Amino acid sequence: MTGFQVRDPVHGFIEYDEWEREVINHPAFQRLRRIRQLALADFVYPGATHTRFEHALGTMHVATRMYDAIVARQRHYLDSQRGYDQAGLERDRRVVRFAALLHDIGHSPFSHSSENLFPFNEEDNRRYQHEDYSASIIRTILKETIEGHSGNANYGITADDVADLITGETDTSRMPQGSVRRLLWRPIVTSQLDADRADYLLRDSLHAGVSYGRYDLDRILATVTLGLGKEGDPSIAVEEGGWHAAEALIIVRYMMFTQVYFHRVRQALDHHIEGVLSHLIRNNTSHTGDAVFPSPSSADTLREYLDWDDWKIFGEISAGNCGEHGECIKERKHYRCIRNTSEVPTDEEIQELERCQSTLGELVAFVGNASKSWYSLGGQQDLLIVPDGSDKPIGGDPLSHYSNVVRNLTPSRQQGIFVKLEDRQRAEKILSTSQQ
Amino acid sequence: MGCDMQDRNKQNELRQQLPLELARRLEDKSPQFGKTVFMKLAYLLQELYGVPLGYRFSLYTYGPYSAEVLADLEYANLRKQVEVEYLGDQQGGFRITPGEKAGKCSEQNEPIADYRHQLDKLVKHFGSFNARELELRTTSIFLWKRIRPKRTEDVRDLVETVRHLKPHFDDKTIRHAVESLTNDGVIEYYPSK
Repeated sequence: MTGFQVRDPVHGFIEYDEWEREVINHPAFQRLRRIRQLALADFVYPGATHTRFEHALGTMHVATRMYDAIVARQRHYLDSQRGYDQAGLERDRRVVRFAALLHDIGHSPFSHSSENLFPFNEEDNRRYQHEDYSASIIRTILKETIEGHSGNANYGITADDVADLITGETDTSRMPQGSVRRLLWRPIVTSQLDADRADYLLRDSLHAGVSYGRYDLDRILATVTLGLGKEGDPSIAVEEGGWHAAEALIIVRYMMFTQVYFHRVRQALDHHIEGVLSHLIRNNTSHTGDAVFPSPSSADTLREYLDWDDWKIFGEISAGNCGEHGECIKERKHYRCIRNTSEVPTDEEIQELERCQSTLGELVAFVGNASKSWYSLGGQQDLLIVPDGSDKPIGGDPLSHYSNVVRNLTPSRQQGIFVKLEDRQRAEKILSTSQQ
Repeated sequence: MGCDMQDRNKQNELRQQLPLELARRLEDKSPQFGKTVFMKLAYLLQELYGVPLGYRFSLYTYGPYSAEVLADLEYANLRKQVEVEYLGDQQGGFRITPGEKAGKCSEQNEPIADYRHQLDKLVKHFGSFNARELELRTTSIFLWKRIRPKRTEDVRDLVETVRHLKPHFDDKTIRHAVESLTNDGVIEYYPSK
């Protein structure tokens, strides 16, 4: 197949072939050019106007490098213990590339900022997530583009293969039993050390113009491998020689969270975006019920959903059709944070914040909470560090055992009270009086 | 229909109480109550016994996993309700025990007390298993729910699928785990429609 290249500001040239180009050229993928990676973070960092489009390409590129690095180190194990041959490895490499390329195709406008407007899934009473939309778009709207290309003749890759790697589904009625081994590669798509994170930290850092997000990706790729968890399961790991690079990845994520993703102005703007979208959905003539996006349950509702993008929202804001929240964005009169806790608040700090909230009553516009942020740092599995140079997965210790910094890095649970700009002085006065 | 604010608050409280509740119940029962055991017991509590924790589990080679479960454990550790201690790879990884502020938390706390029967069953059926045994069982249950076997013969397919995912377990061990789950009535067959 003919090869193509595109120049990327983070990784240099990114390569793809005709088959992948068909997918990239599909309108559902091109829509990612109209979804900003960091929503309105450019109000704080003017350079941060990049989109999910370039991040998706970058994630595919890094995922491929990770896959190739692991295969090079563990080829004997993959052949002898997992039953791979060259064709099997090439097929799974393609599936990993597609999954990485398409993992964010289901994002709503302004990325994570509008995820509170996803509807609830009636089957489990949980709100849908953007991964659910990504998987549904792959299984329906992109199915023919993925499966019907002549390049697929030697691979027999299905849209379900790609979506399953993103969601962790394993429906064996459509998946040959032997294919469950492909879950071995799932951590490249979603884990503590996935290609998504490896790309967005570098990319967001570059565009925001901050250096917190930089870490040594090449060192990680030179040491990434498979290790054995303590229950004997193979999992993505880093050799001892790369543990400082892995440590840096964890630290820069923390820095990016506190300085960029959970910046107080960004929190206020996310709140306004949600307000704008809620207003627009409610005023959509065909809409009834809760202000939520169309669900990912059918191709028709997905097509409706894909009509929503940042350009549409900007147009409505510019035209003055988005109510109070739209004006807050347009005039840069966003809500202001007047009290916040430290990053890891004590019980006393939280009680004090609750007291302020109660004193202010209806003046409180909203309360920001780091632990409820999509970028929340909590709940990550410890990265496995294993001895250097093994050609088969072996046991090791978690990164927190090596790194004093990681061991003591507590996820931010900062909370803050936001008020309208015009209420700020009044709120400050009430609080200072109440403290006397 | 969405989950209302009251449900979500109750769910948050449940989640916050779960690490300490299990640390208390498993102190003398579990061979080692660590992060993996906690993850798998949270899965079983939600998926088998219907406790509305609201976690989203997906499958990796190491079984069902949800980052939210570990986030809640970290928070309980931060509040000193439990203590999470790393013992080293040779000693089996992490150990979770009641923390220094555990005494301040009543054992009769609502809403976790509403689910004591489910917790009793969980501890009775699964409390004495180690992390490896729980990984195998929860993986089997996760796949079982996807395969939805209709006949006893379908157990072969399940065993084979688990073996492809976890080749470090032999057929006999997998079959034994699946059969014991079936005999205990923990997993059932799905009748043909």
